[in-house]
Amino acid sequence: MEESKLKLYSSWRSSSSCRVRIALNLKGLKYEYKAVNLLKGEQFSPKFSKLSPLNYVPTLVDGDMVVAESFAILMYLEDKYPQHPLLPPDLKKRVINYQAASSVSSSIQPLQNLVEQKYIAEKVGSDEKLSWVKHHMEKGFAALEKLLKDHAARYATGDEVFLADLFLAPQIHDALTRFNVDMTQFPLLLRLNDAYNELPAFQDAMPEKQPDYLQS
Amino acid sequence: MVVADSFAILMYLEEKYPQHPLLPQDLHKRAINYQAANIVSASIQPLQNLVVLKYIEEKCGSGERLAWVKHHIEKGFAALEKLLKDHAGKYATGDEVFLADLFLAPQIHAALKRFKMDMTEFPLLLRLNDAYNELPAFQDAMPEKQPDYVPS
Repeated sequence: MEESKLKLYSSWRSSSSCRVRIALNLKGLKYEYKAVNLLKGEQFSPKFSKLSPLNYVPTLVDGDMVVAESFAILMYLEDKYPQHPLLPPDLKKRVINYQAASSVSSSIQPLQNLVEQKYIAEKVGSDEKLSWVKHHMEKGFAALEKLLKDHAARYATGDEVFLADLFLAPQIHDALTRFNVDMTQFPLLLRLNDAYNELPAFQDAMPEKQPDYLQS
Repeated sequence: MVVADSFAILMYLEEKYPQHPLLPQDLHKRAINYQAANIVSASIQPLQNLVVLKYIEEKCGSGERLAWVKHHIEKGFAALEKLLKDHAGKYATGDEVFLADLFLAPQIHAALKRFKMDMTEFPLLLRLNDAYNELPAFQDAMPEKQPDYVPS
């Protein structure tokens, strides 16, 4: 059996890894799943550090090409494997996709790491951190509702799945399952989440379906 | 057309106004540019914005605020040094200015001027900063040259 040349270093819990998993599924790309146990600190192993300078997952290996950072990986996949484009042809819609993606990856998701930060753990109780993160997550979601309301149809920016959906799906999933966010405040995002739940490419990428689920 | 968010704006400008491309043709170099841009925009900058800093200051005291920022900038800068060391030329990913440089210049400027960091551990970034200081396009964009600049 031919070994797939695509390898994805991923953790089941990582929403940024989830974005890439969705893209690989949409583009019909087979890959080898390389689990990185974040709780055990495997991302800091010398071998992995050589591959990924920030010691983050996801990292994609494609032959001799190594790409870390989910956005960079998605842009690479988009350039190299153009089937099922992740960006629409219309410039206005492309820009909405970039804005939604950036909003999740710069304004919402980085705050989740705050919860795990041991750096301030002694000074700030975990319940308090959680509620602060939740508050800011909700602010981010409110902004996304506004951004997408004139553009969404079946999916975030129209009737086809694009980049924005890849960022939204894992973030909404985390909000519901890890942060107990009341998503009924965000009806558009909730509706999109229902749409994502119907798509195998999205469902197969979710944390619960990964080989390392609950093992780290 | 109204665009918010610096990354989205840059991608819009790149597509609408193709002069002086912000991304190289080579796939590998493009990926390096996207990675560098995201290390700044997703791993460093969000943790140094005012909202987060205020929170840290409230909960942990004003001394912690600077320590927090420096910790995250240093982590990000260490990663950037590693990422770029085999790719940098005169600028971050070669001898022409690309997307990575647009993200690095303001971040290094902030590290030096706002947070008074010692950048000697990051010789590549320091060298890049010197290169940016020679370019009018970069210099004219710096905070001190803006109409709303307020010295602090």
